[in-house]
Amino acid sequence: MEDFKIQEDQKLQSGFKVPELYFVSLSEKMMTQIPIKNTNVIPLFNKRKKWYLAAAAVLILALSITVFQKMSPQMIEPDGTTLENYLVSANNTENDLVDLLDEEDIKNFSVTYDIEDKTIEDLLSQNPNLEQYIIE
Amino acid sequence: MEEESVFIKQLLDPKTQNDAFQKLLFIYQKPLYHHIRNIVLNHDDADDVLQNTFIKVFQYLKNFKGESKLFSWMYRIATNEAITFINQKAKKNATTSEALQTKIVDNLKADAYFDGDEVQIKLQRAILTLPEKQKLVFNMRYFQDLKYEEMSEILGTSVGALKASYHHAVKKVEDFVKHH
Repeated sequence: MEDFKIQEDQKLQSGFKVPELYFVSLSEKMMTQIPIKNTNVIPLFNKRKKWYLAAAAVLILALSITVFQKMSPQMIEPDGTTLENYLVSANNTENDLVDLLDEEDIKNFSVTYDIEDKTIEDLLSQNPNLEQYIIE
Repeated sequence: MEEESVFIKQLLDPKTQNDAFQKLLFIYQKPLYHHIRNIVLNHDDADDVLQNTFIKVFQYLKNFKGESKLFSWMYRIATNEAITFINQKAKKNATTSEALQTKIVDNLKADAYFDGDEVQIKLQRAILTLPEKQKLVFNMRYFQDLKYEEMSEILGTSVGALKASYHHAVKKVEDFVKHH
C-alpha cells in the first residue's frame, strides 16, 4: 500500500460494530444501576417518623397518668368522730398515746400553776380526809 | 455554557434527575462508547468500561466545578477508565497492555463485532505501534473528528503539542501501512 495517505485519502472507518439495539438496552441498564434520587423519601419519612414518635409518646404519657390515677387507692381524710371512736375502741394505753406525741405536743400540755406551798398546806389541813390521803 | 450549568443543576436535583440522566445517556453514550472502543478494541470490554464511566460521572457530578465542559470532563473519565481497564486486564493475564492489544487485533477477523477489511486491520496494527499519547490523539482526531481545542481540554495538553503529536502519529501510521 504505497499510496496510503491519511491526510488525502478518504477516511477509513474503524470497522468496530455494536450489537443491535445495544444503546437502547444500555440506557435501560444504566437507569437501573444509577441510584436516581427521584424516590428519595427517606428524609421526609424520617421527619414524619420523629413527629409520630413524639405524638405517640405524649399520648402514652397522658393515658398512663389517667389510668394511674384511677387505679391508685383513694386517700380519704377521716373525720374527727371516726378518729375519736378509733382511739376509744383501740384499747391504747397512755404510753401508746404518748408515743404518738412529739416533745412539742407534750410541752403544750404542761401547765404551770403559780401556787405557794402555804396555800396548799392550808387547803389540805381543812380537808377532813387528809389522814386517809396520808395513809394511802 | 449557561445551558450546561442548567443541565448540571437538573442532573443534581432529585426532581429532575431521572429525565436529565436519560438525556445525558442519549447525548453521550455513542461518542463515549466509540472513544472507549478505540482504546480497548473489544465490544464487551468497551461495554464494561462505558458503564463504569457513567457510574463515575454520576458519582462525581456533585464535585464537578464546571471549570471545563461537561463533555471534556466525561471524556477524561472515560479515557482514564479505559486505560486503567487495559492495564488491569494485562496484569491479570500476566502480560503487557501492548501484548494484550496486539492479541485482540490479531483476532479481529474472528470478532463478531468487527466488519472491517484487511486495510482497516492494518490500520489498527499501525495504531498499536504508536506511543500511548499519540495513540489517543490519533484515535480522537482521525476516527472521532474532535477539534484540537476539545482534545486539549480532555488531555490537558496544549493545542500546539497536540498538532505536533498528531503529525508524528500520521507519519508513523503511513510508514507502517506502506511497509507492511
